[in-house]
Order: sequence, then C-alpha cells, then structure tokens
Amino acid sequence: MGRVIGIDLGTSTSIVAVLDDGKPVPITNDKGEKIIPSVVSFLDPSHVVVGTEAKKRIVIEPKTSVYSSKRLIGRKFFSGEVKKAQMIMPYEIVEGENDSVRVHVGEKDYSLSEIAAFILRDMKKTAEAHLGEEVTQAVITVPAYFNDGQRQATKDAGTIAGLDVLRILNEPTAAALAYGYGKDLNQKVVIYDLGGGTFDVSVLEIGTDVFEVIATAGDTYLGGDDFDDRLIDYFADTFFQQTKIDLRKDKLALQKLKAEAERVKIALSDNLEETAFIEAVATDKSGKPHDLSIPITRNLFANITYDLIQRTFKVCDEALQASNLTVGEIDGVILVGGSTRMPIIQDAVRNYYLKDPKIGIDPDLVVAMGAAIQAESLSSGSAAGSLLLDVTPQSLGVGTAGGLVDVLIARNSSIPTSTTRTFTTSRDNQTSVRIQVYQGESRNSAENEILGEFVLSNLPEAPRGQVKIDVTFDIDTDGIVSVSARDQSSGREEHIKITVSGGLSQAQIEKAREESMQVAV
Amino acid sequence: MSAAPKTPEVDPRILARLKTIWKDLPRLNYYQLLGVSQTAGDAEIKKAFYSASREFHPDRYFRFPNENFRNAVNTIYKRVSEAYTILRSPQWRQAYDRQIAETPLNVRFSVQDEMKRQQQGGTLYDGGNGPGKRYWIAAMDALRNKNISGAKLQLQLAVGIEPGNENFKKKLEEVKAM
Repeated sequence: MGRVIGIDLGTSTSIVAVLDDGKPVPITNDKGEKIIPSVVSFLDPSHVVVGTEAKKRIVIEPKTSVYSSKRLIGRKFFSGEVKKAQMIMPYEIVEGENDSVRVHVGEKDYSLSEIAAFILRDMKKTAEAHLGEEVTQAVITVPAYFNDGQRQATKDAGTIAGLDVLRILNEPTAAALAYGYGKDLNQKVVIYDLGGGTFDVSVLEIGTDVFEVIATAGDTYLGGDDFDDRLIDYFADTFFQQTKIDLRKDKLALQKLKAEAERVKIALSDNLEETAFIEAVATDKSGKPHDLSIPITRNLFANITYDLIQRTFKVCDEALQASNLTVGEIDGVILVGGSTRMPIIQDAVRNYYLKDPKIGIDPDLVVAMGAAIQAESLSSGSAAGSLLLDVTPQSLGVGTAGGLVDVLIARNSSIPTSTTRTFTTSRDNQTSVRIQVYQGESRNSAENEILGEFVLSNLPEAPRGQVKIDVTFDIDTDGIVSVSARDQSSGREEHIKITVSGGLSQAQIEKAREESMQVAV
Repeated sequence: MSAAPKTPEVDPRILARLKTIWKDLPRLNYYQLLGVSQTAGDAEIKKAFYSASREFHPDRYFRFPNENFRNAVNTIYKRVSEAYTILRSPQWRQAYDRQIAETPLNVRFSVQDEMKRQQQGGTLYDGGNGPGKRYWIAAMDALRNKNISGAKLQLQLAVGIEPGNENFKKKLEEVKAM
C-alpha cells in the first residue's frame, strides 16, 4: 500500500504534506517552494501550469489564468459571491447546467472541480517526486463551514485528479491535530482560522488521544482577499482624486494594483508605514503616463478594515455560545491561515480572548501538516492514532409548505450521524412526493442554501396519509449528506441520489477525469 | 444487514459488545447505549462518549475488509453520536428524559419534533383536542407512574371515543408492547 498525503487546498495557496518518521513534513516542490499559489494558467487546452509560474501569468494572460477559484467551488451561479467574482475576476465565469458555475477558457467550459483538480495533480506530482513512488490516496482539507455542495465538489476534484479521497477534513480540526499531536495537552482551545477567502472558528477539547470539536462557526465569504480589496479601493480612490483616472475600469491596471495591494498588506505586518508604488500604471487623456505612489500607515489599514475584523468576532461569539463556554474557560487560542500574520488581526484576537494567541506552527503550513497526520492514521488503520470527533457546521432540514424549513439535524451535531423522518402523501392517490433539502440556520427556506431535491415516486395509490415512507438522512465523516428511503408497507429500500444542484454526475466526473489526464500539468 | 456482524480480526471483547448492541439497538435508549445512568453528569457522559468512540468510531475500522461489518459499526456509531448530541445539550436532554419517561420504547429523539413543540408551546405527544383528550392525559399520568395496565386501559378508552386518532392508536400499540 502506497503512502497517503495530506493536502491543504487553499483559496490563495495550497500545501501538500506527508508523515516522515512520525513527523508531519510539508513537501518542497522542484522550484524549492512549500507554499504553492492556487493558480491554474492555461498555456493551451492541453497544457496548464500551476503555482508561482501561473500566478506571474495573471497579469500577462488574465483571461486564461484562474485564481481564487475556491471562492466559486460548489456555489450556485446566481449567488452573490459569483456575481461579485464576475465583476472582479479577469477570467470568464459562465453559467453551467443546473445553476452551476463554469470557467470559460479558450474553447472550453471547466467546472470548478476540474480547475481544483489541476492544483491537486500538481500537489500529487510534488509528493510523488519527494516519496519516489506513485501516490493514489489523499486527505484533503476544506473550511469547516463548507456546506455539502462545496465538500462534494472538492471530493470530486480529488477523483478527477486521480486521487482516492480518504477524508474531507475540516481545516481548523486539522490545525488542532497538528498543534496537539503527541503532546498530551488536555486543553480547550479556539482555532481562529482566517485564510485567503474563508474564515472559520472551531472550539475543541484536546485530550490525550481524542480531539473533540465542540462547536464550529464560519463565514465562507470572508478572508485575506477582502483585506486586499479594501487596499485596492483605497488606492484606486486616492489615485482617482489625484488624476481623475479610474483604475477600476482598466482590468490590466487593476491586476497590477491587486498584486501591489497584497505586497503592501504583507509589508504592513513588519512596517508601520508602506507606500504602494506602480510605475506608469495608467495614462490620462493627453497620453501622459501617471505613476501610482500612495503611502498608507498600519493604523489607517486597521481603520479601513475595522468592520471585516469585527465580522470575525461575531463568528467567534457564535462559536463560543454554541460551545457553552466563556472566554475564561478557553486555555489557548491558535492562529491559522496566512492572514493571521497581520498584526492588526493578532491585536484584535488578543483583545477578544484576553490572552496571547499562539503561533507555534507556521500558520500557512499547519493545516496541511494536520492533514498528513490524519492521512497516516487512516491509512495505517491502527487504533493507536488520535481520534478526531467532528461536528456538522450547518443545520440540515427539509422544506415544508409555506416556504419554511424543518430542521432534521441541528448544527454542531456530532458526525457521522443520521436521522429518519416519515413522509406521507397529502392527497388521495398521490404517487410521488417531492422533497427539498436545505442547509442553513434560517426558518425561511429561501434564506438557506438548497442542497438539492429528490422525488419519492411510484408510490402505491391510496387515500392520503396512508402511504408512509421512511427517509433517512445521513451525514458521513466527510460532512457529506446522503439520503435513503424505505417504503413502510413494502419494506422496499432504495438509495436516493440527491441531485446536488450544480453538482457533477458520476459520468461527468469520469469523463472529466479522462479529459483531465490528457492535459499536462 | 440482518445478521450480527461477524469477523475474526476484531478485539473479541469489543466484538462481543458490538454484537449485543447490534441486537438491542432498536430498544436501547441513549443512556443505555452509552452505558451511563440517567443521573450521569456532563463529564461522565463525555467520558462514556469518548470510550464508545475509541471502540466504535468508523475510523478504527477504516482498513477493515468486511464491508458488512464496517456498515454495522457505522450504524452503531451514528446512534452513539446522536445520543451524545442530545445528552450534551441541557434543553434537549430534559426533553428526552420526559420522552422516555412517557414512552420508554420511543428511544430516539427528534430535533424536528422538539423544535415544533417549542414553537407551538404544546407537548410533544399531544393527542389532540378531541373528546379522548382526558383519557389521553390520564394515560400519560399512568405511564409516568409506571402503571402500564392503567395506561393501556385509558388508551383503549381514548381509542374507543376517537377511533380515527392515529396518535392514540400508535401509543396504545406501544403500551401493549411494553
């Protein structure tokens, strides 16, 4: 049996790690990098590059270089996030079947799972070069707050990349595992995980051999990218005041500004002041080129991102409340995700939890390291490894008459879990019942995410209320939902595939895998 | 999956426990499943959950070849985590205690029913507002006092006066089975 790798598939960067001599080690690729930009750039339809080379191409080949695609994975085409991405991304985002999202490059539409698969193949290749053997199995991490559709799409990406995905693991849980692995801690900890595009908070109890997630909360629309956007706005507005040139109307200039904003953000972690500078960023009507040169202090940066930081603490409130703990009962706060390198975040976290946050392991690498530990533990199948006990981040429910939702499995329930509900007919001789499945916390179905719907059909004709179908809803250890039904009278059992709106069918995944293998990474 | 899980490779003590639980699963309430008393404190429940997790969590059998066995373990563990989810919440535990006092055979808790009950401010096993209501209430009282035959009598009266009431009939069947 080959080795199993752990992959942190991030919004901005991805990392692959493996357990070497019992220690989790992030793997360095052939260019000497451990932290690989999650960017896929198409040289032509049969040749893509991934990572730093692809990131450099964003400015040169904006239409064929796909970045931050994790923000789109598992989303519906008509969601706000996709609308926003369409406005700011230079690559083309189009509608696929069943409200799904596709990225159009060259002549072809790619699902987000296919795009992510290219990154995973690059990770796989890096691991294989390091281990000197073929790798076919992986643990892949996702934000804890990812819903069913996003988890499924990530798992599909693994399949398309030729990987057997042993587990979809929550990023904060992975981080806690890397942090507490082999340390015999017995602590209650908070994982504050601010990544490139998502934010998660998990409260865990770390025991000798059990890592229990008590509660989790998150915001999949909040990350380091949003801090970059604030800087972009500030620089673009200031530049407009100075020159009356609107950089936001110039996609090339905007790309340069994005790269510079990210650089300034990182520089502000070390310096109290930094100047954004882009030579001849745009020309005015008379054809005269203008440089962009705008200084910003760390204080001003804190001011223009104040509301973003406050939003993270609303999520922290939620997690603490759900865990029935007070700030005083928390033994440690662990920072995860590159965005937590910002001193303005560290200060705010210190003020909120009233203790110094721990940055023991590199916040960029810790998730992949935890994934590698879990990968080894699953592959060895030994009872000696640490046990991860996780929860489902969002409530699962079914739609009812009047546009409401009945909760079947509440958020923060331990997983794996299942629940059974009896459905019946509401009209005489009704032969089918349509059931819509939702995830989210609102009483109103329209405010929740629809996972999909299924139809119980071929029911025997009978007076209303007489046909009774037991429907079992399952959430597995990956946090992925499945449904099966049993007719009470006949005992006939069937597994129902929920058509995840926008998801890929088995046939589509297989086809995508075959096509993807023709593309050189 | 009707047969008890069989496999030679598992720790025999765990296997024996798995077989017993598998057989009794439809009848075990959450306390019995976790092996704690109904007065157990939160720490004791957590300890029992950890201990059950060490034995039955599907990850422990991840590389196990026998799929039927893995499915059975998974089914048992899903009930274990369900038990823990309900018992670690003070509100749900209270409602669950009431449920198993009134209907000891009704061993699973429905979050959906509980949320509805809270929204309506009614009781979970409301028999409705028909003429059989007073017999229903008397039957529930009898059940609380572990007076099964009394409950059966009252429920028979309730069913007699409201033959169309499905709740009455269902409850009567449950009580008859006690």
